[in-house]
Amino acid sequence: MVGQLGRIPYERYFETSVVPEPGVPMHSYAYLRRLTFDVLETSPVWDTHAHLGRDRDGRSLGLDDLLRDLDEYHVDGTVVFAFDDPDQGVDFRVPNERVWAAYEQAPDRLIPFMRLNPNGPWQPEYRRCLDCGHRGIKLHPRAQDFPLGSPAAREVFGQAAADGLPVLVHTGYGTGAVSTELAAIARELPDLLLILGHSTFVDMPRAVAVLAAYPNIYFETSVVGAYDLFEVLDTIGPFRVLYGSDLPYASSANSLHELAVMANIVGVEAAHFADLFGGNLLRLLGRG
Amino acid sequence: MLLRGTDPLEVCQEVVARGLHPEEIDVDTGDQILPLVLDDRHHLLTWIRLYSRCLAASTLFLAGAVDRCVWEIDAALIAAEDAPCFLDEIYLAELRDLLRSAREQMLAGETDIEHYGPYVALTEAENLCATRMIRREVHADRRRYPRT
Repeated sequence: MVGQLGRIPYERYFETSVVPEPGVPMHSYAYLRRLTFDVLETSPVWDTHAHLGRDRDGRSLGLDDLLRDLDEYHVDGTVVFAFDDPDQGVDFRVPNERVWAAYEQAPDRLIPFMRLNPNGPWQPEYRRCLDCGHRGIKLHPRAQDFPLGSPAAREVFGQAAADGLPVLVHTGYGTGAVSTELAAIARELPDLLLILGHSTFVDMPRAVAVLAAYPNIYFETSVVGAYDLFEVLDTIGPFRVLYGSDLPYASSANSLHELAVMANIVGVEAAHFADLFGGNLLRLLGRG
Repeated sequence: MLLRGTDPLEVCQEVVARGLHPEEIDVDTGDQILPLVLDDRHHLLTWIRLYSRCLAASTLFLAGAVDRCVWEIDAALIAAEDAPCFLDEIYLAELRDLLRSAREQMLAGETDIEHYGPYVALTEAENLCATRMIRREVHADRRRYPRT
């Protein structure tokens, strides 16, 4: 039957360019390099989502281990911010200072974002971090227990838009349907650069339909279901999708692998892989 | 047709170079003879079985039923142990690594809803299964509805 159509569809079964060689596991650099059309070797690769320090859940990640993971896969660097740190106090000052100290040790590899708690006295910490040189903000509505549309959160968004800082918002594990709130924020603040950590997967597929119209909204790919990542790549396109890992919870290897495989399946052109894996983030931050 | 080899890349390249159909190839690895790939029905059932085990494990973890979650992971590991075809062994090996990682994290005490790590590992395991299923479906779909 297939022969009658004139061509055997090999890509249904495998792709000769990405079948691992013997002794070359799927989580190896050699395999991932081929899977990403050599982007890992030839283009700047930047991760949009990594933590430094320690979390209330017992996880931790230090600078040396972070850089070791990035180095293994030739990832040039990453956006970093604090965990849900047990030492966060009312304003995250202590963990933000730790992130900044790590940045000072590896300024070419890290892009520090400040983590804020809109429920607390966030303004002094925001100003301190802004003056230091933090390049963005991380908000976690579940961990810090605030609705995205709350007056306090909107104040943070407004300030970030005024100062040109991107805001990465957790829209994954444990959150509800937020696309309507996000659309309202994006509409009210067209200058706000909003990065959706985990691509709003709880609200899929509605989220891509609702949010596609807002060019100031970006989708970050860590710990997203393959079927949801398909929707994001297929609907939003390659220019508003940002590679992320969520280190240390997921590894660079698995995160690179999933985005590359799904981009391949969706049919993203090889020429746009460099945008997905770092180019879009660097342009968003004015470094591209 | 029977091909000899242990290198998946070389075998796949030979299949393409000779214009052979993947579903008509068996591979003699020296230790055993396996089909290169499964036909559509068995491929789908294999990965549905594995996906459903991973999904069940993830759901049980979120429900706080860690013992039952580990039981599901063990069942998934059994289902992923024997490669049903030559090419899938690569992906099954990776799946086993992810499942063992989730298992080890839970046995090390990450058992509470606030522990994010096992959820991540199980999500990655689900994704690996899903991508194996999606690949064939998308290409079948693309034949019917080619991109313009």
